[in-house]
Amino acid sequence: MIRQEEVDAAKIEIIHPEVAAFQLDWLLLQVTRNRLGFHSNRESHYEAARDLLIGTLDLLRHMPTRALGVNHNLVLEYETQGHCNQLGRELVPENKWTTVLQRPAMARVEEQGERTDGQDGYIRVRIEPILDEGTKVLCEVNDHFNLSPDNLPSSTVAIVKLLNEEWRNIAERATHIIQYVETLLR
Amino acid sequence: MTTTNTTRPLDINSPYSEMAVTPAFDIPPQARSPVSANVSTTAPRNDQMTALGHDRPYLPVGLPVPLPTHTEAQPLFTALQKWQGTVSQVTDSTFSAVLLDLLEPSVEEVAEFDLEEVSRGDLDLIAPGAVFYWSIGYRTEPSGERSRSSVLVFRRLPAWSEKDLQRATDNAKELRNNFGW
Repeated sequence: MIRQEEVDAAKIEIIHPEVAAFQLDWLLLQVTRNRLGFHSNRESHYEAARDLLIGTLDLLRHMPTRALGVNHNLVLEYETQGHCNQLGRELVPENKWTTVLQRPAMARVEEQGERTDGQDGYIRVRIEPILDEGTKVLCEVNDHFNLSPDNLPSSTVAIVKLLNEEWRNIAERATHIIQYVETLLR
Repeated sequence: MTTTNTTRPLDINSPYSEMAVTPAFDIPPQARSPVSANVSTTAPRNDQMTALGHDRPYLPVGLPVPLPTHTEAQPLFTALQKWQGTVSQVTDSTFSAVLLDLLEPSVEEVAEFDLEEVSRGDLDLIAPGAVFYWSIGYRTEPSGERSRSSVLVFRRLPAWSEKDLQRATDNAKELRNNFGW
């Protein structure tokens, strides 16, 4: 499922009973006792990462799974720290905290919403500043699916179905939410 | 997937975007790791955290200890356009494909590609019916240097085993019986 030359060039981060991780130039794959994570920072390879996961789950089709999360992260970079601070005040008005905190500032915001597609799970958005001259903000959208008990006997099949059928919707939701965050400073 | 530069206010760059997919396994609670399926391992470290609201930032935030992230600076790729292609015809030096615009999926196009554009490791996969992804966008090196780039990636799925083929045959037989054929 991976090109031989990529296998040869893969960087093994760690192999341990509790965690294993290796890195290709377009993918970071991590396995813990209860989690399998595929991370890519190349938009050109998002579908390839999804296919690799689908192929992996096909090989692990008897492994019971209980949830699927697809995270989209985007670092928003603003011209000045003042713009970032303004975003923080838009998300968490400082006057709500001035009676109990001196110079309150937003350190992290997580907002969670219900799914509207009939699936079990939630959509969670996390926004937090990154220390880099104070001009960068991480925006993460977590599209989370819980598998119903009915699905558990064939849970990997259910996840593969979600990945095949919901992939575009997940991406559109993330884009929509991130664009909304961007409009907060318009 | 994630947004490009077109709508961002005030600035704008898309210096970093990332996607992560994390299915969680069902194992006994006592054996579970404290790392939740929904905690991104891509979060900045605690010492990178700051706060928004004042010009004098810094409020460290307690976060779960993350697993390793990409440890070496890697080139980033920000897509401007993406297609999913299905190979329709192959010649000695080119192949033709039907392309589905992944951003406007109702739009289908036909294109011809030079085999020279395909990574050597993917050449064996080129055959009628093969699926690939074609992206045009910006590649940004760790140094910040940016260049226009076109990337072709062929889909790879596990080869069917004898067991898979037998299961498919059995399913087909069962369907045929159910239909009374």
